[in-house]
Amino acid sequence: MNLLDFARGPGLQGALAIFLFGMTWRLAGILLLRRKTDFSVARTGDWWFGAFRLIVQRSLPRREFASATGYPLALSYLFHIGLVIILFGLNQHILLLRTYTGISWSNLPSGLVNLAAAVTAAAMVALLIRRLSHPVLRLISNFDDYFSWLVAFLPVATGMLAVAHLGGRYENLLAIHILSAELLLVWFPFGKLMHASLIFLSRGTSGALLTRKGAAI
Amino acid sequence: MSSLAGIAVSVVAAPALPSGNAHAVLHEILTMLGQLADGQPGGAIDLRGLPLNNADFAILRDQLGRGEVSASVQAAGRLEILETAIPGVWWHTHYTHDGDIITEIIEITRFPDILASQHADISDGLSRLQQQLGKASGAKEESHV
Amino acid sequence: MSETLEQNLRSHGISRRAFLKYCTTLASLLALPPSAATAMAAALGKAQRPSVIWLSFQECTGCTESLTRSNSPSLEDLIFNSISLDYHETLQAAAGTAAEQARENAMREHYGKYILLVDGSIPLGHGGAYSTVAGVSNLDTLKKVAAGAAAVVAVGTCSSFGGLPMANPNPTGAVAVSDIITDKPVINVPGCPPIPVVITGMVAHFLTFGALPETDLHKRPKVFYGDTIHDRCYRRPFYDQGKFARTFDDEGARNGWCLYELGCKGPITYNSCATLKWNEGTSFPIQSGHGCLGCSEPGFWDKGSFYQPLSASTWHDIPALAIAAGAGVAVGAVAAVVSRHRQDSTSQSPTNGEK
Ligand code: SF4
Repeated sequence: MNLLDFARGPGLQGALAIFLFGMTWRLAGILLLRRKTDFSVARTGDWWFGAFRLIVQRSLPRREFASATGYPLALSYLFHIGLVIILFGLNQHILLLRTYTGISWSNLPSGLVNLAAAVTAAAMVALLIRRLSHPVLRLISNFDDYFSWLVAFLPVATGMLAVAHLGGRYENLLAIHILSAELLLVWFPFGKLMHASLIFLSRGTSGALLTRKGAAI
Repeated sequence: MSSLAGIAVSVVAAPALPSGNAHAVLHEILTMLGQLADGQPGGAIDLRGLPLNNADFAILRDQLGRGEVSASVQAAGRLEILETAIPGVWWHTHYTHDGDIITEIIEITRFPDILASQHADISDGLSRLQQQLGKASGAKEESHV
Repeated sequence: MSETLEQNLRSHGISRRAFLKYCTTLASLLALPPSAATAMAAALGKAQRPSVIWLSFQECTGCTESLTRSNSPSLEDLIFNSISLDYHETLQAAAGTAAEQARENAMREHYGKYILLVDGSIPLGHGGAYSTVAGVSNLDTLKKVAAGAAAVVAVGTCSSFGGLPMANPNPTGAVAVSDIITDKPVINVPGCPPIPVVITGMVAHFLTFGALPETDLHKRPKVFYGDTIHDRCYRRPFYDQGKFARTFDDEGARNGWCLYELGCKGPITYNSCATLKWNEGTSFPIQSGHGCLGCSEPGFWDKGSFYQPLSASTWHDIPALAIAAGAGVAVGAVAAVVSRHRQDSTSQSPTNGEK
């Protein structure tokens, strides 16, 4: 069994198992916690609306802070959208997802995906530079921040190399790319990448609570 | 499924844009031709070993053109040799028995070696001719008797 | 016996010019500069009639078919089949003890100089009893004949890497030639079957230069296995644009789009099919509308379905994943119960509870 066989077979199976185990563990652990009973009288009944509103609101820059957060926010949007385009637009990825879900959709032209990958990688590097050069950000960053950045960046970088057939034999490039994605899967539930599944949950919860209390959000 | 003819098949040829390698080849030819003009040996370029696409071949054919000499050799498959419009530049095309191209070579020379009769073949031919004449004259003498 | 190869060819009616021409195309195939053709002609012409012994072990005869079934006899065919091949179980006219005798003679006469070609893998299970010729196991024959060979060419994927006989669970304990012969130059010419000119090219190279050509990490000659099928595939522009055939008879298939989605293994398969092609340059699998199976790669027989796209996983045990998810829920639930318990115990204590 060579590296690629391992990556496509047991490697992927193992990484997915760890990913699912970690995800369900953490989500169940949080969702099954007892919520404190709120004895106060609700000010409004539109909790769902409040939850939704906060999710949207917090996803947009606040006018007061726009000048300070605009740059990193724009970069973050760029690379998140880029990641979605790459993950769901490249045929090779769709074919992989199809083996698990049984569903498939038409792919985007490779040129577009390649462009998205280039933009994504550039935005991620720019954000890392900002994190390293911004004194406050640097102070509050820990291992998790840097490692999470790395495991998210590696699949993009190795994927681009594989597409370009650059830096080695293709079977090795592909194997390394798949392995890097497996590293991402394994780390995902246990590090800050978990924000992807918790962010809307926490924002929604806050939104619902604040609305119930009648606070301006 | 009554017949295969019912299935519409339209093969779209992959679009070929010049790779830029044709010009590299042309410049190599230029250098070799310069050497030949100076009385030095020319050289040869194996086109098959280079990443040339159809568009590149079209450029080469267009730039080199057709010259005065064309020769065809029938020896273990067909070999076509054309002098291009640039004297001293010869285009060899080797075909398989089925008429497919297996090798294309550009040779820079006054006269391609392969066209000259080979010494070994000449002596083979000599003895063959001697044999034939020997037989023929023998037969004549017999008829005279 | 001391007749040179060229004299031998001339007695077969092949002119010196035809021989020169053959050397030109051979040099081109071996990716040597055109100037090498003259040197090649000189060396090959002077070479003694090469002696080739061909042994067949656990195989399907496809490799022999590949070599002999070209529609028109080519020069390499002539050099190979009529002039040099001293022993080939399938092709020789002799049978029984006479055949064995022919091999013994060839071995004795050319000891240390003959070239040994092997197709088929060698079964080691049950003392090699799975495949024997004249009561001798393949293992013993190989060791004996290889001992006097100047070089060994493993023809086909079975002798190169084990091939189909080695497929899981490898019932006969099949191994490749290079697993057994370690003290001789061995070159692998894999493919199921390999391209004919690649086989004869190795013999010609050995005769000209006295050595086998440069090889890659799987002992394959780089000249023929240096690029992937994908590198030289004429459908590559469609791959690069993201245009794929989704089934074997859809619009994309009719338009000649890339076969990646239909399981093409071209991107990881090193061989010359895309350039040399098959059946006298007529076509090759991808040109005929079917993806590459990867037949010149080690282990191609055990890498999952031929129709599974390269990027898709080969091992997706959905129940096992469900178990992993279930286990996660269970662990999460236990964690939640523990923290609920902690929540309860803190709220029961009156001093802390109502803060
Ligand atoms: S058909 Fe196969 S070898 Fe050709 S471009 Fe597509 S994936 Fe590559």
